[in-house]
Amino acid sequence: MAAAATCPAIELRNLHRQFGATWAVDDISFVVEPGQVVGYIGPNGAGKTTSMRILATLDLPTAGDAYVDGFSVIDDPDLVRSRLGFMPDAFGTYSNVGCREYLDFFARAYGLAGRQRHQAVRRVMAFTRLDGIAEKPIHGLSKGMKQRLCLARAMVHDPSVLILDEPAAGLDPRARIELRDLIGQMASEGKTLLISSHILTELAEMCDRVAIIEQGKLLATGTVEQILSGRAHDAEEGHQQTTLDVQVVDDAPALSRWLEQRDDIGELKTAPGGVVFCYARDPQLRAELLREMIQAGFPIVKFSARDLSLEEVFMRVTEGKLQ
Amino acid sequence: MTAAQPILPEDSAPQHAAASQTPPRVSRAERLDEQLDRWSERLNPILVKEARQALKSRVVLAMFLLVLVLAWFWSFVGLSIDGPAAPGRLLLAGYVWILAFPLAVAIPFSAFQSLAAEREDGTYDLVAITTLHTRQFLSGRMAVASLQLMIFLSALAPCIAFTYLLRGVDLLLILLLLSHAVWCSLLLTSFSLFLATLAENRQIRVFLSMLLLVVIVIVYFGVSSNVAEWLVRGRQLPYTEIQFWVGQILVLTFAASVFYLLHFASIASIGIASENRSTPVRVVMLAQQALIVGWGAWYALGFEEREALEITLAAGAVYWFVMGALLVGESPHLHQRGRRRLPESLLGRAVLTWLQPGPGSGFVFAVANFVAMLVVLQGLGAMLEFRGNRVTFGPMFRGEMEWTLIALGCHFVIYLGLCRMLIIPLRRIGNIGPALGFVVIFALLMAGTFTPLVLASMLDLSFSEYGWTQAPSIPATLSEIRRQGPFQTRIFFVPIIGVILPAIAALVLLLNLVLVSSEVRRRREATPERVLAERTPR
Repeated sequence: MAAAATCPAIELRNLHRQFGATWAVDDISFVVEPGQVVGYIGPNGAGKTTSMRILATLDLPTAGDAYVDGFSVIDDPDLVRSRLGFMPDAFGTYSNVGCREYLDFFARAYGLAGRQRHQAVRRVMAFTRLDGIAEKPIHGLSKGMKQRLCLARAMVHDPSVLILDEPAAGLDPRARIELRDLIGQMASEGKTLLISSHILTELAEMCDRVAIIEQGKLLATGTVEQILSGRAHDAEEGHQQTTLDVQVVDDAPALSRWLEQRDDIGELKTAPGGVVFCYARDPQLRAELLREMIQAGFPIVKFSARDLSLEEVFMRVTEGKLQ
Repeated sequence: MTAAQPILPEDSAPQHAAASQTPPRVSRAERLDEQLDRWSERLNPILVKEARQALKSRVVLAMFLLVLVLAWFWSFVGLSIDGPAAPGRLLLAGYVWILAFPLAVAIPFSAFQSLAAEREDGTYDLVAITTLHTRQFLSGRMAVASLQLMIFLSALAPCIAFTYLLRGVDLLLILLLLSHAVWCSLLLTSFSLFLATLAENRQIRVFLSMLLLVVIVIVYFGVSSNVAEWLVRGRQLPYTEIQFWVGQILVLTFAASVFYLLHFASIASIGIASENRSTPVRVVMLAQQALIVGWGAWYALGFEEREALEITLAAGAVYWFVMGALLVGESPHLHQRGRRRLPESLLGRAVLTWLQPGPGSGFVFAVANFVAMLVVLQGLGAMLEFRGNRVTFGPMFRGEMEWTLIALGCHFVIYLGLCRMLIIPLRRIGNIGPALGFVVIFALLMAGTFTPLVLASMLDLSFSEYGWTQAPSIPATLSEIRRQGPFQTRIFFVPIIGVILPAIAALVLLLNLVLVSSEVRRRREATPERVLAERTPR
């Protein structure tokens, strides 16, 4: 295990997966270091679930490989499985089985025995706050409770890496907040997490890094800040921008027309009393623009820059294409 | 499991701290439960889970009660029937009908439904990503079936024991009936589980469940009616004859080999894709080859029956056509995991390469086994002739058996070789499993059998006249050999079977041997040190 410290917790290396004529995953490579929480975001059908299933050793890549703690998911899936907890987006449950029995079965399946097994079941039940419904049959649980149970199952063997596919899907706001707290707690325990979710605001709060995927291709990776600032190593040049909100006393259309003539302006939109557009993050350039506006005679009352939200970055990086 | 710190250490839970201060009173039932839990440590997790589910299942309880009620009902009705059959045998015949239903229908079908449903609703995925090996998973399923089997047997045990007290039934008869019922049920369950591993989607599942139902219903009615009739008619088992017991062993050895073949095939179907899943199946094939030839030889030599060799040949030919097709349908790609265990020494590579996965090695394996079987059968045939002093060895290639062996051997090499070569371009269309080989060889055999008939009608040739157009047809060639006997008078016979077929077979063999070279050149790859360290028991 000593060498494990030098290995990335998760590594996708030129991963490809083809279904018929469609490349669900098309040459994806990125690394997640131990202890990091990475958000894996993309539109529906982008290839998130496929790549997560490959990481979970449930599917084989057409080409490339993926590694968990340095072990190949193709050649050493058994070693990967002992280190990995996977929570799929949809999961079936057994009939006539209570929560404790369900977790006990998986603890046995992971090779836990005796006291170790009992402790593991108690630990994850306490963590996911399922103690109160330990004997309740699974089919009678709410969606939120089932999600917790699935999370408990994924954690029962105390894995160092957790892959959560849409863990908050279908949850009400309270259950979502509780799940977010659980994930935060796991992150604080030093677990490595790869989480896919459509709720980007929550991901932005939880994740150290984000990987954006569309049509099977990786569009951007980096820390949340890098993505927001457009400085991610593989982010497109055009995203090294910020949003400027400019308001004038009157004649906003004239300002809009003036800005339209410039080549360095992007995504210009009119707003009440002014305009909103993308511009370079460089403060010098922003100061120069302001000076030029004033020189052009526009009565500027507000000139503010704000960073892009993760949602805005996502919308810009992705094109909403479906496979 | 891993170096990560556990969340909420056990000691930190406040309720446990409180519990340590005032130890709760443990009831006798709880102590028993704890003891049972400790014993269950050694059991397969699947068995534990399924047993827990079964205890809460109304269906299982209803089935058990139904069998119980039927058995008791028949006990009263059977005793009141006044017929020619011995009362014990009549009662036992009824119990056979009752017991065969759960054993031959309910247990295998529920095993299929349970596994197929798990695969369909995704619960199998959750188990698959645990450290439970596929072998353990399937063994667990078999253990569940065995447990159900024991429960149903125990339900009928008092009734069957009762028949022993009546006229016409002895202990050996009961034991033989029960042992055959048990292996039949386990074999059907193994077959059901194998089918379930193939049910990748709902459509296939529905089709396979219908197929299974047909099979198990035929087995149920076929076996039950025959055994019951045999019992009622008062026939006796020839306990004193040695052949009877050898026959029992023969049946059991074949059943065991089929059971293991299905078990390893099931593991191959849903196991780790990068693992070498072919070698265990090939080892079982070797065992089955030995059984087919061995039992054929025993019967032929023991009873001086030459027909036994023909039956063995027919069985062996069908077996290797099917198995050979599945083997050449294997993927040519061997993952690093599989390469780590390739034989290294020269001798090891020479002998064991053919047990490694791949269509090329599969082709050589099947051809080598088939030819070995032909050689052994030829030797046995010669031995029989020598023993009987009927015919001396005589001129080579004159006897019917020899021509049959040559023709079948050539056809086998040609069809399997063509199948292997056709699969290579077909594989580019999509990743299709070994079943592709079966489909291709079936299509080839059909084309080889029916094209000559079409050609004959187009060229206005007589169907009964054997010529070059009928050479691809195995039935036409074999019937021609049989018709000719040891004296070959027809003009096309010797050139076609003695020259053209062997020449084409040699060409196909050569082409396939060239194709197999990439598999032979594979070398063992070193296992990474970290992997080795992980796998070494501490």
